[in-house]
Amino acid sequence: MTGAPARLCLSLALPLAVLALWEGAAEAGALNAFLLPGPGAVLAAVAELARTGTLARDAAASFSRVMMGFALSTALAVPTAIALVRWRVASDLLRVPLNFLRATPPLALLPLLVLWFGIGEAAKWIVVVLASFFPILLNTVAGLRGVAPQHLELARALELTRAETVRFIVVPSALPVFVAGLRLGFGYCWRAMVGAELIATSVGLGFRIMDAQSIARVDVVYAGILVLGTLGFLADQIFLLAARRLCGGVHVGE
Amino acid sequence: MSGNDTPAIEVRGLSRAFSGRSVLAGLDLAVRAGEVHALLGHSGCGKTTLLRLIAGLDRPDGGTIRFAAVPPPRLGIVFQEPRLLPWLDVAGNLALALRRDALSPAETRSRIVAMLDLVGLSGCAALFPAQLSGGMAQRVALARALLRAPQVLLLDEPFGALDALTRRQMQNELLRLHDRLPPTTLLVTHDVGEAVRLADRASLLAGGKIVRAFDLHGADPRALEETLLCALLEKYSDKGTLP
Repeated sequence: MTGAPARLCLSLALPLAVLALWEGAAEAGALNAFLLPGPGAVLAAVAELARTGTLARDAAASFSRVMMGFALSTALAVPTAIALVRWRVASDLLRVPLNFLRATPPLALLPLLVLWFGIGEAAKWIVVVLASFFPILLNTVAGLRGVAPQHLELARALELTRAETVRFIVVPSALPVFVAGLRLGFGYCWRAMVGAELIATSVGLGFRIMDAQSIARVDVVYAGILVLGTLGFLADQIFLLAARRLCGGVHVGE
Repeated sequence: MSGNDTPAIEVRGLSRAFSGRSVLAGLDLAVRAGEVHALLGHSGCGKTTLLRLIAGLDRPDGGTIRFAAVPPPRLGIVFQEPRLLPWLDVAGNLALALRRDALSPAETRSRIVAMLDLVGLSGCAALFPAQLSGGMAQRVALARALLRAPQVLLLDEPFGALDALTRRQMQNELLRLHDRLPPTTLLVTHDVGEAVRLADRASLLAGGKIVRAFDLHGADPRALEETLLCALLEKYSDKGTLP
């Protein structure tokens, strides 16, 4: 077996082995069923969440928070990156505030954000924005700064206008690094969203996990974690496919 | 391949230094309209700097560059490396050279196809730069420069990175092209044989100035090569810079 099927089997081997080991240990009674229920019990909890509609509601709430935060973050980071690359005064002006913010874990700001914005969606969006803003910003800056000077010189030799230079040279050459930043930022959004949902909300996958813990439904806790990981993984794959489609022949990552 | 006596490009007292190191020091040069003018010299003697200044890609510290044509002529430039954009196919790369002309897509297409025929790359329009050999890529670069229908063609060791056979092939192609559409051509090279084969006149650049000029017409090519080579060697052994 060679090529893509072989690689797929190889990448599934480890998760399946862990699952088999886990099931075996649970069957043999080697595990504390309260602290670590077997895969069967966890899957049953997932099925139960799905049947009652809780799963769809939670996933939709979490997803909409991520998408909103991600969109806001991109809308803020891209113009900021352009300003930083374009004007030295912007990069001098923003260096200290941006580095201060970057060094501050977004979750540390959550108590403050709840005070300011209440327990509505806004506080969660802001946490998600803070978590994903910097990877998108830094990669966009790196992408824009990485445009080969030889290509810019070619643009001058061909007398391209500024708009043509941006369209044919700057954007395509910055695209792979920019997309890598979006992907990184999207992953951070997903993680920050769960963190934000652990506090002060009544719907969402993060809330479901906290809620299950408080009513001692450890199987639901595991179910929540499983769903989160799976959805995050799937979202990343879809993101990558979309990016590849958008960027045509340009390499945007594994 | 003959030119008349009007200088199409007149360079006077040109100087350029990079971080305190003088590369060009009061250089004078006249390139006649329609001629192929070879600029000879050792690596690092300022040939590329001079070409970039004439192309307007760099600014001189002093001196002037005048073009006889009013308005200034259209320039076509071929760099040492092909400089194709890897995200565009051959046709896309070539189309960039035609943007100034605001042609219809069909006209753009047909000019590109005709130019690819001319440089011997028919049927390569849809290939990406990564799929081209070095020689093919440099042909595309030449095609891109020629598509602009330049009145002045600036060639910066365009065949330097090619193997001997491909280089000879490209030189012959350039001669053939120059017979059909003869722009004033400034050819930077350190290959004496290439200068003799392609150029009408040659200037030897050393110490930031043109130190000798040669008429390459009429004389026996072997003798000419010998003369040029001796002149190069003499210049550089004087200065002790020959490796």
